[in-house]
Amino acid sequence: MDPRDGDRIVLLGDGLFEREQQDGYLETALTASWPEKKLAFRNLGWSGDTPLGEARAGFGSSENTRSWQPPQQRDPDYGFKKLLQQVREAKPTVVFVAYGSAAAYDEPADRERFPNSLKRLAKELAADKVRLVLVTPTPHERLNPAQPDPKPRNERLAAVAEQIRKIAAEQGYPVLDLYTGLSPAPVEPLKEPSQPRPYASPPLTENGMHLGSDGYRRVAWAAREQLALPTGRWNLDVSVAEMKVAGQDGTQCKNITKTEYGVQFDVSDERLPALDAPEASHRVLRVTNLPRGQYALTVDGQRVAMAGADQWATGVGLTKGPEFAQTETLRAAIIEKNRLYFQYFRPQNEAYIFLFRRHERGDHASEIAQWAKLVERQEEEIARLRTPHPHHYELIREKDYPESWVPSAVADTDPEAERRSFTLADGMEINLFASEPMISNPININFDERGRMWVATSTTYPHLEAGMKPNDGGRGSRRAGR
Amino acid sequence: MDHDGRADKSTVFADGLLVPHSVIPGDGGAYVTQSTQLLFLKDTNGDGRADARRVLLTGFGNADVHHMIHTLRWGPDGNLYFNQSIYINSTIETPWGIRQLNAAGTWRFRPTSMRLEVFSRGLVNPWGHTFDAWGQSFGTDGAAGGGISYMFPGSAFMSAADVHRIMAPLNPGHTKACGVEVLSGRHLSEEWRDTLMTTNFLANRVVRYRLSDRGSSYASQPLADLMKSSDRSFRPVDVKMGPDGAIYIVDWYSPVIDHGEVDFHHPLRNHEHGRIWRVTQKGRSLVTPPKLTGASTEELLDALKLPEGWSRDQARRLLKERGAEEVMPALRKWLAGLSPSDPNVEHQRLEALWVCQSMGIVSPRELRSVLKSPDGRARAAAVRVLADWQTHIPDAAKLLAAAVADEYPRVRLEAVTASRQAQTLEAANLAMRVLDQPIDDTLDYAAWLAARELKDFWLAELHAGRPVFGGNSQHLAFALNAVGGRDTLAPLVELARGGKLAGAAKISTLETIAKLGGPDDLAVVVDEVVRSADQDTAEADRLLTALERAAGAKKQAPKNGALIVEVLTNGKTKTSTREISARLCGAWKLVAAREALAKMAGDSSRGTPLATAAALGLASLGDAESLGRLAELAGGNGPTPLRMAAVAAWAGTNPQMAASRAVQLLEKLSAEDDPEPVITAFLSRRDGPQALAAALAGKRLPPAVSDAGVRLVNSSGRDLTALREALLAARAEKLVGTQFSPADQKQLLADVATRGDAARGEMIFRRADTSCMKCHAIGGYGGYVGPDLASLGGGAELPHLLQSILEPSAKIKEGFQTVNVSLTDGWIITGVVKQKTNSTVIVRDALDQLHFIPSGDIDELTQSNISLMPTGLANSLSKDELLHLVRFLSVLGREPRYTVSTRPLVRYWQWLEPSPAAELFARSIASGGEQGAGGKSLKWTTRLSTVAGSLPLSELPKLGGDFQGVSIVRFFVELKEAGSVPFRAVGGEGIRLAAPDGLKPLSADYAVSLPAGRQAITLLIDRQQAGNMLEIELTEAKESGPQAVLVQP
Repeated sequence: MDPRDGDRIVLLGDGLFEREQQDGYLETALTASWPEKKLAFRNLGWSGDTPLGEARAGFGSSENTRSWQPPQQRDPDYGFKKLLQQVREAKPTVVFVAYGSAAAYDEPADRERFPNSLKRLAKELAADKVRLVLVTPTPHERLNPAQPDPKPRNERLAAVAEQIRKIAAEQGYPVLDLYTGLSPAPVEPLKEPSQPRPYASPPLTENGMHLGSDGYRRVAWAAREQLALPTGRWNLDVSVAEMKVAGQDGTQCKNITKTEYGVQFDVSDERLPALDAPEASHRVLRVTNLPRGQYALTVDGQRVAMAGADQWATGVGLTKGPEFAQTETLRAAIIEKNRLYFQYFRPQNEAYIFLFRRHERGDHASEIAQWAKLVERQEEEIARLRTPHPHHYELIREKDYPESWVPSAVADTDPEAERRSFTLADGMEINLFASEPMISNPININFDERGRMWVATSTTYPHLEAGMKPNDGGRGSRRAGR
Repeated sequence: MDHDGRADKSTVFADGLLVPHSVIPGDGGAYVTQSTQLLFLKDTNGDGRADARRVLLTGFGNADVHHMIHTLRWGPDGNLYFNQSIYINSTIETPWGIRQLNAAGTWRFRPTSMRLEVFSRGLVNPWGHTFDAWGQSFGTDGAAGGGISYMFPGSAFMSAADVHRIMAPLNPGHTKACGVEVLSGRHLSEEWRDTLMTTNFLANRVVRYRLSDRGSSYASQPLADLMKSSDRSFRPVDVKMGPDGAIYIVDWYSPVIDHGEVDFHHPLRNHEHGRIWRVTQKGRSLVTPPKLTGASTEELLDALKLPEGWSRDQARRLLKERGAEEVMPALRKWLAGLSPSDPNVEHQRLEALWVCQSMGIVSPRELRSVLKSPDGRARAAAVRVLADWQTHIPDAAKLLAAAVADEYPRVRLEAVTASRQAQTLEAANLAMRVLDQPIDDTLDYAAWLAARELKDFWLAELHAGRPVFGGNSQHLAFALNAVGGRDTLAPLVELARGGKLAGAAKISTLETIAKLGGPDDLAVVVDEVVRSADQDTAEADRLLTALERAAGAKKQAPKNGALIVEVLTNGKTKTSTREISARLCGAWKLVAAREALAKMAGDSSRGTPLATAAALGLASLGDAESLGRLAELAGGNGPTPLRMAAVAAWAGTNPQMAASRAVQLLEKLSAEDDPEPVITAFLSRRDGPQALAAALAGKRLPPAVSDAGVRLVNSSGRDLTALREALLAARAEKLVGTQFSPADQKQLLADVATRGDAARGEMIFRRADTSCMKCHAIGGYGGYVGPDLASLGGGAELPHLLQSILEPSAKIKEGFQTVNVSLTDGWIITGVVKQKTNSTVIVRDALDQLHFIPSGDIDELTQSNISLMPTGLANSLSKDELLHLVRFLSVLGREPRYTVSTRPLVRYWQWLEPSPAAELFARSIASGGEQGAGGKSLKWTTRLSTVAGSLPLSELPKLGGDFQGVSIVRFFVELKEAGSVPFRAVGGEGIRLAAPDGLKPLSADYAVSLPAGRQAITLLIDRQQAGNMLEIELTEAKESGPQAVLVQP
């Protein structure tokens, strides 16, 4: 894969991509691979969806008045039209199409439905001169004996993956084969419920079906291998004796100087380290001829590694540091961009703002447009973050940094006044158990076995303001401009 | 902890969440519903904060934030239950397949296996769900009126999507209920225990119900409130029993409680406050909760015996989490050690069975023991467990066969449900056996659902020519009627022709044939009509109504339709039967009936309704000759009502031709005659209003006629400005109405609290000219065109109330949007969509009539911005009258006198219109004679009690003749068995009750003996002696006989 500068890449599919929004590993890997190219991503994943857009049909249009029934009954193709409309609105030049999870449940008689509908989708998208990448679904695994045996499901998923590969081969689309890329994942079923889980490796899914963080890292790794993304290879060999660079790969080193406690130098990387798999970001720093002793490596003043001089002489693998943090920040920025885009793409209170109750709260539509602006602003942040910065390396001792904590303030009022407003049935009495500032906006309670009351609270309710970061359950959300 | 009843400490377990609607601890962490996700959060390092987070399920809808998933509850079966509300469409990927739920419903989820199922569907805002001690589910609805609803697997209620039948809630008219909890435990005294508590956040009340068995379902009796607040920010949204046996109430504490009705960013919305209140009973000690953390398995098992639901729920959950290996041996030992003489032993065995079910351990021995319990409630719960395990229990079918024949109706209900879930032919046969015993609505629903969901099994057998349901015709008829699709038609016709069916099975079979059949099939229905037309049953009318609907929906006429002409002309046929027959003759184009129809349309001796029906029949015949006869009738010298009926029928077919004749009639209309049918006929045609307006040019109408016309135009829900102008221009005297300037409105709002008189406001609300009650119910009594106003004062702001009266179209309440339905043949129906299925749209019009419109007949369905509530209502009110009306509305549900009481007060009355027949009737009851005297000539008019529950006697008309100054009213009760109905009367002086042996003075406490069934109790009121108000309340029967309930006829 070799994207063009300015490409707009849509991730279209079912829950596999919908959940990827909140993990971001694939998108981060693609973004960080070409720091010089401006790539925009739009995640259109939708739980339970098919190439015909069946799940995303939702309520249909605002003409579907007063009805909570999906619109397929009136127009069987409604979901498909909506899907195409959503894709086209995102103006893609490249579309990753990840469908097939739902097809794994199709009855034997319906099994040609999926390839036919995928072909139909591909044909429509190809007509838009969009480059396609087909993605196969991921295998299931069994996390505990109460879950269904994944074997028949995986056989089916394998068949679906084969159907996708076949279409890709026929039409000449690149394919990201996650079924193969993530196999073998299944874990042996457990015999006894009380037995601890003897995983050979950590499970890739959260629930037997949907990928967790490790799973999505593997997705990014599979993409790196199968779509031939650049690797994050990085090697630096510094000789203290000669005060010069003995070798470098993926980075440029300069300004090597001695300090009172060790050595320092500046490095400029070609690209950010990858997060998807250790193999993808093999960063080894070798520093020879250090005087004896334990050395902490700090990068931009942050402690990254600790090793003896002899270990530094043979090379120390680096697995964290500001560069990694920058990729994580990039990933967080991508996730945040996805969150902002989700509020634009699937806004809350859609019923009131765009659909059958828009006569009530349609005036909020302009707020939704604000989310789109916020997405664009966030993309500027992403563009800034995908470019590596020069870093200052120093082999010295460590330091600690205190964390800051800012309490939020809440108003003080008198619950006693409310208590006086009550009229109770004969023989009953009432007392205040809890109130603000201990809790704000409580909705629901339940007790645990220790008698502790658990309270669900939401200060965000009824609507997430544009740009607001929700903080429900805690001491309250930050409300923009209030 | 210092046990002072106040929270000592709080910890933020998790933050950064997005509108978490509910949280419930379990499995060493907590489950949270958040927006589109179900989360599991866990504190793994013991610092009290969640540091591990799993997204268990995603894909729940978020199109309406106050409807997003909520109300987490552990069921006794170890499943996690949660709900979603109406505007939520969810598609969820699970390892077991894709699960979809559109609109409201309850989910059932097992976190270990990730198995997710829909448990129940519907209820608009099901914000409350609880289990009683026997595992039965009860839900509440925060939007629609229903109080408590009894839920079971497969149940469906109002708002359920993709269902064809819904069940009724237990308390129609009881609005806005949120969290719900069963009260239990030793802290509370007997009269509080085992009652259901729920929160009315809109009316600032916490209310209570007592449930009792009613067949397979429940009766729910409202009890006195637990509490009420005069602070409108008190917003009780959840209620739970605490570990100490006290009642905890969650108070959102905000003046604003609406979601979409108030702007999302309104500054009044409160984001800081929130309270939790604890209610205890004076003089009773609190419960010391058992120590469950670190308890041994035996101690946890013993906690299952405790009377507090909290202790049992926690113990059961902890046992589940402990796992089978440790629990099963101890549980078997514990069961063996139970004392058979313990009065609660049956419940204890059930608890043990639930522990097995929670752990996922199929335990046939424990199951069998509870299935044999002498307590029907335990057996019912055990059948629910059997349903879960049936694929693992070899003789499950045998056990179900016994259950479906059980003497306790709820066991039969569970058995039908279990059979439905079994998905086999054998199960279908089993399910229908429930019909062999008495059946009620709930059992009928469950059997109906089973027949439909098992149809792939039994219907395939039937089509393959093999006998099903053991050859039982009644079972087969029920199942076929339940499925009701085209492939059931042939077997149904065969059954009907076979003549083996009787009673309800026969009627519903013929009704289904009428709905589905073609000309040949319909013949069998007509044959039955001919057979039963002169019998004194409702059978013929029901079948004719079904045929009429088929004629409208599918334009189907039976091949032997001509037989109906004989039914129409036969002197022995009931009038009501003739009326439908007359219309059908038209619909079926039976020209042979023309002369008979023309004669009837001009004959007033059998009542105007028959003449009207005959006129409609002529109009439907539609040929030139028939229309000519209609024109003759309209222009002839016959009685005015008949001429009006003729012109109305004519206008419904050809408004252009009928318009000038109609205006001629309207011009000369006297005060007694009602102009509504004629004007309505014009409004019901797309081109009608224009034709009428044109014909009105230069004419003069009596003021009453013009006013009635304007009123109808204003409540038409359409923009008919031209016709309104024409009616006003034609008015003989110029209309001067009260106008309310912005300054007047401001002044009025300022004066409401000080000068507004709610009592006078209520009388204005009840007046005929405001016609408020025609469309609005208060606590379930009144019209259903507009929203129920019972709790209005708890939510609506004064400016909003005033605006709603002056400009009804400015803000139309959700669910009450007007639609205009244009039909392909030129009719137009305006109203509110009540239900929409693939084949039919049901619209309720401004007159509270339901229209069943086949989708195929709809040319266009458009949403109107004009409310059905008439504009200009206030023009006929003085400024002070409007002030009082607003005051009345603002205190509804807030002041005790204007809050619908939970006592069984008579709210539905009928008065007798004065007439010679009415005097005859009075004479007859005075002598203890037949109450049927005067019969069909009597006209009873519905009158509802005030909000406080009394009947203002000054509103009643008085009879004449020998009964000068006397008013007659009646109300209705229903008894299961014959018995005595005791009641208490306030204001009963001068009032006598019609008993079989003459009139008896009504004393303050009175009892009347009545036969079983629906009975009228008639009162004769001497207005000279009687006071201003009459209030009647049913009281508890002294002996524990069957309780009578108040009903509407």
